[in-house]
Amino acid sequence: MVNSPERLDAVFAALSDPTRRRIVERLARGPLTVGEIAAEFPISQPAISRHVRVLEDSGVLARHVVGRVHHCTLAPQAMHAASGWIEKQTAFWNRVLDRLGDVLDEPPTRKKKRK
Amino acid sequence: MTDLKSPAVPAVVLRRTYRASPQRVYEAWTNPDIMSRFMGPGDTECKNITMDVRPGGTYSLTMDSPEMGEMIATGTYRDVQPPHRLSMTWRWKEEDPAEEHESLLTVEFHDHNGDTELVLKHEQLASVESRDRHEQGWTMIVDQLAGVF
Repeated sequence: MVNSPERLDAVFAALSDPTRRRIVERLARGPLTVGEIAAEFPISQPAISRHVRVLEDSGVLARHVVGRVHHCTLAPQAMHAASGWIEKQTAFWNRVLDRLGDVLDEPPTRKKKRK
Repeated sequence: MTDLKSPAVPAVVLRRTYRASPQRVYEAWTNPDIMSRFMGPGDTECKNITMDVRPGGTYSLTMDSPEMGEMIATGTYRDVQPPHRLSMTWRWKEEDPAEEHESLLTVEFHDHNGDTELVLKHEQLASVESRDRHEQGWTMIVDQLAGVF
């Protein structure tokens, strides 16, 4: 389920916004409360809350509420699914381009029939 | 929240330099006999290649692998500039055409003193039309973050 196309779409969509990417980069260094995130960005707290919710819905961010304080951490599974997907695409084309190198290194004798 | 409808999916960009002229590398991508020898990665066989290399022309190729069976990729050439650049749409055939997803594959051939730097870009986007609206460049961020965990 973690690797479903819908999940990947949601992760990629969540990461398509520069502010949300910066929130993710910031959380990669350690957990923060929503208030602490808001203090680091020059945009309104409601706007930050919206971004946090998009990240949470995509599975990238996990929120733990203690009293009135919302603690945010990154959820590694979603990021792993996204980077794994990218690696799979990259691996396919890497192998194709390696093989092309082998083919180009072959002396071009076998193809002489062609007019 | 329009971005949830048209997610920005990262582009795969690879660069490789070959000790061959752009003409030879370009030919490898536009000659079915040569393509069949490199397009099947690993133990995958690439066969049944047809191509009509001109803007609006179509191609089709079958990847036959022991694990996945036969998978057919098809598309339409968008930009054809021998021996500099080829771009084409790319889609894997599905039993249900509604599940097929079109992406854009661009291959450029740059002459570096007789060698060729090939730049391959595969943009796996929700639609080819939407790509200009999306910011890329976060592939690196995902990679960096994967390293963090």
